[in-house]
Amino acid sequence: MESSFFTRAFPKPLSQPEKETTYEDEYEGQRTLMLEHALDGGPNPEYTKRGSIIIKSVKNNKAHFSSTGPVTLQEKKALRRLVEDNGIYRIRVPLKGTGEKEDYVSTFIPACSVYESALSDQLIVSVDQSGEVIGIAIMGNPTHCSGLDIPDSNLTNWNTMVDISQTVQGPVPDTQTYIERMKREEQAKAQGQQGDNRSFIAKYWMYIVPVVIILFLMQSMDQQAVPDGPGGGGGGGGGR
Amino acid sequence: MAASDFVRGLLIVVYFCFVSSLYEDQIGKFDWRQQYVGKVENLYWEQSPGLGMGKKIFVSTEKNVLAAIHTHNGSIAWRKVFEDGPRGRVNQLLYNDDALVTVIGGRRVIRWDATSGNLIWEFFLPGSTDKPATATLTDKTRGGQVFALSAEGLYGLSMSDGSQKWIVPLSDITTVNYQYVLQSEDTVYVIGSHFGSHVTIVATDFEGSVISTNLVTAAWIKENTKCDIVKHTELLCYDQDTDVFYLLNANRPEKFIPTSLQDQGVTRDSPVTTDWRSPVASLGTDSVVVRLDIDHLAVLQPTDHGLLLKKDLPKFAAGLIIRLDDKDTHRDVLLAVQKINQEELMLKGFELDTGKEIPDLNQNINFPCSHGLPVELTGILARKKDGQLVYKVIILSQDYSIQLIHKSGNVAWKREEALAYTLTVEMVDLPVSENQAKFEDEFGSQEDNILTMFTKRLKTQISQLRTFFERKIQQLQGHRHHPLTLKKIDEDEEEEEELLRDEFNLHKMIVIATAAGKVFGMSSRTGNILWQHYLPDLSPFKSLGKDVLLLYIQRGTSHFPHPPQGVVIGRNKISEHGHLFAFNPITGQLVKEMPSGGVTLNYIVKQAFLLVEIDEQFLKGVVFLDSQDQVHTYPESIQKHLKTVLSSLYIYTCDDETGLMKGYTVSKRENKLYADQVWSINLQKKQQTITQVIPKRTNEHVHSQGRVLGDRTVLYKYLNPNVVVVITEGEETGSQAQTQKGPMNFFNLYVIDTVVGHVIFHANHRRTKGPISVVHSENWIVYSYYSDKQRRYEMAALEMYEGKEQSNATAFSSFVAPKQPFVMRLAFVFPLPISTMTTTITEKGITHKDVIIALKTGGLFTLPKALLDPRRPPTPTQETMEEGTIPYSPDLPVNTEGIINYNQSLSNIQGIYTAPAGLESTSLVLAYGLDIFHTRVEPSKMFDVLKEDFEHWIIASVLAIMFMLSFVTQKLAARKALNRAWK
Repeated sequence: MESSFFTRAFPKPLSQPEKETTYEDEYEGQRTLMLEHALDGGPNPEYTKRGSIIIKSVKNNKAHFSSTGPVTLQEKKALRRLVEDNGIYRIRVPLKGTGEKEDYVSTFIPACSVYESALSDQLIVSVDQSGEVIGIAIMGNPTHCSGLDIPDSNLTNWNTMVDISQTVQGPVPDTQTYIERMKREEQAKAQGQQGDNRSFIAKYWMYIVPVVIILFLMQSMDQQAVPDGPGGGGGGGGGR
Repeated sequence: MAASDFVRGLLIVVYFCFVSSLYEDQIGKFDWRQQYVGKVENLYWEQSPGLGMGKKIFVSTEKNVLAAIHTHNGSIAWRKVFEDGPRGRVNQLLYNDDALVTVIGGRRVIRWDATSGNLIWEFFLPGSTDKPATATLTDKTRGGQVFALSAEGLYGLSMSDGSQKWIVPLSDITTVNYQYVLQSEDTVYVIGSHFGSHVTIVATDFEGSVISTNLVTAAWIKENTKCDIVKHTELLCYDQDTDVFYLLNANRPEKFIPTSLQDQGVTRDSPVTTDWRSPVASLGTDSVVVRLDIDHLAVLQPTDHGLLLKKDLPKFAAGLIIRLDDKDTHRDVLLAVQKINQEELMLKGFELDTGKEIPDLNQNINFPCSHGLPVELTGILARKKDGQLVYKVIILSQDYSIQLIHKSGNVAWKREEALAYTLTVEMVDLPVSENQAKFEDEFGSQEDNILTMFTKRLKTQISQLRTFFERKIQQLQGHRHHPLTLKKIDEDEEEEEELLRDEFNLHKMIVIATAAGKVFGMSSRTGNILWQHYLPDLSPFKSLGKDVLLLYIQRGTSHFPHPPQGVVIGRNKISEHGHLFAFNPITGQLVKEMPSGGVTLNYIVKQAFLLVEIDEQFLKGVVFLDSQDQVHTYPESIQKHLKTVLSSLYIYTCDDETGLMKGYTVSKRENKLYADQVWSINLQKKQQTITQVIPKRTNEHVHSQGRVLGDRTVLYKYLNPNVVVVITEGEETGSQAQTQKGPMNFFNLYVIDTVVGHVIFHANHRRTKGPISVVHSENWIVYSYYSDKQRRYEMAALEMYEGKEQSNATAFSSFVAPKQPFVMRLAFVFPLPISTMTTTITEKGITHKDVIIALKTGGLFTLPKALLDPRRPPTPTQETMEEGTIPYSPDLPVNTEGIINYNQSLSNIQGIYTAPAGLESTSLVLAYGLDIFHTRVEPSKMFDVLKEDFEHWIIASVLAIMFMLSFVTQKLAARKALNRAWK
């Protein structure tokens, strides 16, 4: 039912049912969206057809824009006027063929952005998990306006890139890798314990050696001290 | 493995850093809690013979609460909070002979111990829940029974243990709606109505055998007809269409006797209001007080020939009849209150039989207009030994407040139950003192030369000195001359003195807007109410299925001499148009030309927001979008200023009925401002409903533009101020796999740029359900939900980054922004159910952020944002350690030290508000719901203030000793040098 909102360029093969259980592989058939634009900046602008967006694959982000034809002289004039007025350039995509009102997704951009980029822009079509178009975005290329003057000859053909932005799966707590990591760490620990089967002295030589040295020193000091009597002030003197 | 040990050590250190618990002696030092019960629906005075009546009152409220309140000070003796929604609703509260029985959720009959609030027994009524059950109690002398009427039958329950004694099944329950159960000396009557035809009266005795079944024709009875039981055995109904009262005596069920008040000589403008009968129980008297209008009462007495008008009480707002037992006789006394001026009520007493006034009882009561009109009156009356009549009266008012009045006319206590309906909170800085303002003035101006600055300094210091002496003299005089009144004056003075900013700006004014239509100003230090306004016409907007009141601070306190200004925006109760009320948030005074009830705008408000820019008077304007897409402002004068920012003004709306989000620019045509639609997004109403839209806070500062990674490069944050998070919830349908498991709930999260209408990011969570609470701050989003698949609560964190290069560093523009930021995401398991959450906010945004989570278990838990970091690595490496991220573990720890309200459990928290304090380390927190709790938190500990237990003396003495030592050794060294020189 959802797919009927798009005018399909080719009918889907019969073997592939329209409704499928999971959406990852859903709506992979090619479909076309109409793209309309308005070159008068007023409150209720008149939209004219600019071309169509052909989506080949939502999953693989494959889509392109095909223009209805070269930009007419009138349109060029209108665009120049819009830039002079510091106006906005609007585009929209009808979602239902005809009939009900307000079934568009639309967006806008400062007209100078389109003009100064010499009609090269990038469209982003947002598609939700069931294949519905929820929104569209436009971006001039380059994005900044610097007051350039573009010759008419550069305003003839649209140079448009189309990106598809698809709803992604929300994150889920990743217990699996955590448990695995813990297991790995435990194993590593267990291995570490098994590996450490050195002798007592090999393990703790760093504690034993100083003790031995101190003992040795003290012994030698005692030997010196005995003949001298109680006078041995060698060690002390410090504390106050 | 050294690495893992190191990580573990790091973890321990990190966790210890986050612990911000309280010492025992700090309890109540920084925090306070207030407990409320909600709007009272039923009220009984305690009757315990011997001990004196009325030590407590028992109330059941709209907020699913049953509570006992002490009558001497208004504090809560005990309180039971039942679950949200109809399952926890207290349908009926009955009290007789010290037996307290409730019907909860329409089916649970529970007896409570009146002194402790403990449950004695519970009886579950079987059957459907479509219609709530009702019950009635007998006296102890008559066997002590509870008669409970459910959808299917009448149950006789034992009062002592709740066991079922008998059941009378009712016939024709499909057509007859059994609603009323009443009793006489030895008979129970069940009355059911067959709409548009008749009522059925089934009489049974106390043993459960049916005596009779009678039908009485009543063609006028409809579904919305309200009836009430009077005089134990009589049913009084009111038919709104014909304005006629009908009376039926269940003892002699022959016919309804109609009475028209017009015939009785009562004149009034409008027919009887829908809540014509006070829901608060009246004591056992023969007559009944009927409300004809908001301030018009009538006392009616049921007789065999219909109703008899005993007294017409125009201009009286509330009244009650009390039976006074005098020796052998008893007489009925009518107490009624009438508003005589803005600040006072007049209470009058009448002898009901004669209709004469009892001058002894007349009393003026102080009753400020911030309570609206009294709605209910309930009380007790007694005769003292010297023959004087004394009473205690409780007044319930339009603003949901409860207050107890003594005979002297003094208000003994007041409970502002409107605070249980808090919708929006703002905290406002208090003004600095006059002297400090002068200091600011001194350094503020730049064109002054040294001389003028010097004279200014001298002047301020002289004035400081003068105020100091003046205060001292005042204190001395006060002590000498007015020892009696001193206390009161002091209190007042303190109150006024308190309203100055303290050193660290920790003391603020809390402004609260409530669904009851009341606006409060509260001191954040004590929780005392400093000012209040009742706006009878104000009601909240309904937005995405929730009640919303807008509260904006248009001008803060730092623009002397301009006074601060706040504004509350809601909907007019009747006309649905916008309703606006502007006030000074510090003093509570109204703004010039503002009527006391606020102004009703002449349009329906679709969207309203506060401008960020200030005009030349330092005022931020409020911009409204009306239902005709026209743009209005408050104040009107701001429109001049608005012209300068018009080109950068964008408005968005969100409609949950169509699932469309729309964006507008504003343009000026024919001297009016119009909104022109420039973008739209279709969020597929067919599949899902928009439930939440969460923007960022405008007063938030982001200190760091990026994150330094392990390899010393910077990952720049995506800091788009125009971004909102939209949550939609829905149910997946259609597939066979789902039908076995029941409905598959899901929710979607959209991150949308509201200037150009670009969906920056959208994620789908399958097999999950709400309630979803979202925190949106800086470049991150944290949200919690319930996972149906795993049957647990989960939390997810998203962080948006531009990448290693920053696109527009100076000022952000949605037109040139990187369209697709890099979104990192990670989910966690949270072990406890969550009611709402928010994040801390500090002055400059340097301090770490904590997520404050209100748990359904009553706790207020702080969780460091570092634990909700999507960059937590699954396996730690050298690089991640360098960056300082904590290794990923799927479960979030809930340690008890993080519960900032320690043992002070909070019920039913609806929202948490945070505000920055003057200290960078500190954030002020106010959690509101049924309870209100205020405290302060330090997410990175108090790094900018010495600890309370810092040992100043030790440091000082160590310093002194060091100093002396150095002095002495210097001397010694000098002497030694001299000696050496002599050698």
